[in-house]
Amino acid sequence: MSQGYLALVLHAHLPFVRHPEHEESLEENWLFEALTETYLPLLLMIDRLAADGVDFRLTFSITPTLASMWSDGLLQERYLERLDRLIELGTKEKRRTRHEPALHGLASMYQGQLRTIRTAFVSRYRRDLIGAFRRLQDQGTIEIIAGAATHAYLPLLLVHPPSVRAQVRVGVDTYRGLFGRKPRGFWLPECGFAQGLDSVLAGQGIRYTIVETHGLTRAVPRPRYGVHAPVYTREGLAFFGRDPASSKQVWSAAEGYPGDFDYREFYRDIAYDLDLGYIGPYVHRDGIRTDTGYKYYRITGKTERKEVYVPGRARRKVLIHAQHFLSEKKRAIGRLSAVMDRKPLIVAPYDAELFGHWWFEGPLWLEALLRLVHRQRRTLRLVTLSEYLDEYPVNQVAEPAPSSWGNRGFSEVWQNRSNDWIYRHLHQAGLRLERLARQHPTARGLTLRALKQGVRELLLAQASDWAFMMNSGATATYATQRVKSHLLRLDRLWKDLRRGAVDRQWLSAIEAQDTIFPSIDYRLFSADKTQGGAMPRDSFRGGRGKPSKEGGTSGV
Amino acid sequence: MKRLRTVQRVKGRGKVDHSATPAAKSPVERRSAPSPSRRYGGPIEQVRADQQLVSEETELPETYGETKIVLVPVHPFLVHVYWDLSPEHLTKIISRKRRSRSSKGPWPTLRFYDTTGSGDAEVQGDSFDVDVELQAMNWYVHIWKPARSYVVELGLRTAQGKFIPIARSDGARVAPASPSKSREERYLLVTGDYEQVEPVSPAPAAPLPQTREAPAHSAEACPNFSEPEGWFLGSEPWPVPDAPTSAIEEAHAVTIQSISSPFPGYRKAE
Repeated sequence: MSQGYLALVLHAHLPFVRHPEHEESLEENWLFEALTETYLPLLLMIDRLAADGVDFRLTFSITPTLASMWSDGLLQERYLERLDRLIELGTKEKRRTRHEPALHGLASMYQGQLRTIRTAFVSRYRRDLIGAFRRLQDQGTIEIIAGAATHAYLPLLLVHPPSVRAQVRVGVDTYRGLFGRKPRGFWLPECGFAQGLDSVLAGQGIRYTIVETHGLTRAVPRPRYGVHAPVYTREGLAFFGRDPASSKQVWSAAEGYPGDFDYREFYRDIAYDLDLGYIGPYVHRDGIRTDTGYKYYRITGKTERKEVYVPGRARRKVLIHAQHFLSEKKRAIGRLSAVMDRKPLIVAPYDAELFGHWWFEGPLWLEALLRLVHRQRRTLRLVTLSEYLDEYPVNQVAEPAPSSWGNRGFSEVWQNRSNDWIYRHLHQAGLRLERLARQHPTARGLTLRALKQGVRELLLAQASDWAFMMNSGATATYATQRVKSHLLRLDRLWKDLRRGAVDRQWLSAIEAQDTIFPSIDYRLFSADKTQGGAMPRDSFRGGRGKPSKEGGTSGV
Repeated sequence: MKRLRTVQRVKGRGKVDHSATPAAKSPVERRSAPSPSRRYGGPIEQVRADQQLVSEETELPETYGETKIVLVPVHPFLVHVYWDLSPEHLTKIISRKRRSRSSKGPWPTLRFYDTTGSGDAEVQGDSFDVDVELQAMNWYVHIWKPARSYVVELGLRTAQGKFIPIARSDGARVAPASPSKSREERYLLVTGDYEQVEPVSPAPAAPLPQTREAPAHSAEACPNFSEPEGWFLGSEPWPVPDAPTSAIEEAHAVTIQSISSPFPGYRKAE
């Protein structure tokens, strides 16, 4: 019998980036890199553990946008082309580094990994990552939770409740289609919570979600066990809170494991070091240097003079860090179980892409941790959040506090001077779609297609990623362009539909580009509130009355 | 560049001015360090002219021609307000300003009401005003009372002090900056897909063994039940100006009360 539980939650997400209009897209590389470095390595790791009879539990959040890209034929083809080019680069690298044994060994290592990944993608999983994850869930080792349609930061959309309901509903429906069951858990994008979201989730039959630490520690009334047991809202939706120590140990570059000097340096890629004449065919065709994944140096220290990466040293650190993490968790469990009436729970959610993409040794660390936990089972066991609720169906009632896991803990990352301009347009666009949906309760033919495309464009514009990028400055122009283009397409659809003259050719063109959610139901936007969960009176719905009479009182 | 910082969680310690802030002039503090959800590629980006939108328009409209005002909380001490005006309202406001001979008025003003515990239909009670520039169309306002509900009205304030409302927002609740004082304990049993949702009392079911020393419900007994020292804005040295909203504090109990009786026949845990 264990004394307590650890729930590891990996949130896998990328925004919908698919650019058939370009032969090569910089942004599609986000997907390709994450496939090579994170998603496929994690799947292979799980297979290894299962083959070795390791008893483990993991919770995955796989967002609808990521799932759509995984199953997109064009992107799969492009991914294979990218893999083949990088494998070819490996051969050249081995030749180039033949007099430098350390670098040569690393080139071989990377090429070997790429070959393994290619074989896994093509032969083992037959390009079907969703199928692979679905089978794992059916076997019971992992639990997959649903997510918002396009990862919208929901607290800032509550101004227009139908938009929030559509994000949640489409996420839940997509999940059912992909995984053949109802989701029990729901990932709030960026752990963003505000009052009102609880009812929407409960209305969709969701049993639980996860918030940042202070979403629970500042809940009202104050939860007896802090983040170490879930709370229920009045409707019975469970909220789990993120354990601050677990996030710091893994996230923080200053204090966390990924910053160890023996680990591989992410930013030192041969793409930036070598002559364009040599590396040109393996970076973007316009001569823009993009990561190749061949990275030969370790973090070394706070210096620009990086030393060569030594995989053996990194592996030893991986084991030390996994042991450290486990011993810290065991200590915490020991302390907590002495003062709790139930087995304490430590919830540790991370971005999946941290493991492998940002932190090269991340998947190894995770594997080491899971094996170590398996070996000792007296103090601590792994658990999925559903299993915890099954064991402890009685929980304290509290109202979670508004919070997010973004910088400074609230909405600032997605709502500041760099990106606040988007919300008046997003809210208005939602309102327009709601009006259109009410005007066309039984649309058919071209009108139906236009309405469905309108919903796609709005959902895509709502992705939290764009506001995030505008805030961080990196890829801000691309993000601005994405928001504007989706909203302008919707603007034109709105005008065309009002005129009763939809441009068939133009519609076909944007349908071919923004292919996500092929069977979406536009009537989501006119749906009765009860279908998606009623909004409480005191949530921030924004200054919007009935559509015909907006703006409230006039005394002028 | 040491870009590994991108996986770092950074807790801000910035000094923020507490005066009302025109959004266009004084930015909400922005941090260079991004949130942990950073996952996008390197510093390069591809800007394409040919991807432009397949649409005749290239810019989003500046106004939608409908009068409205929207209040959005940003963090426990900051809200964002944006508004839009119909052409009719705009004409009326301009003519009213022209008619006025006073240089002081009528002035575009945001009037905030604290509606905590009363629902957003009630706009009576404590309020404070913030002068704005109408054409800014949005404003950041620092507030000094977190964990409360607010409604904001956009209006004109005359030289005589009369407030003429133009539009009113819906209610918005601002996040708390510290843990709740309420330690009330109620429990709920939920099974299956909400097959059974019922209050449980007394709870928790299993009493603590006598040998355990610390009272289990006490955060002091186990620091792990509290948030870490200095957690998000919790211990920021926020100066608290003399609020024109002196009666706000009492309303807190009302909030708790309204939350704490959701279950008919529910008994308080012993």
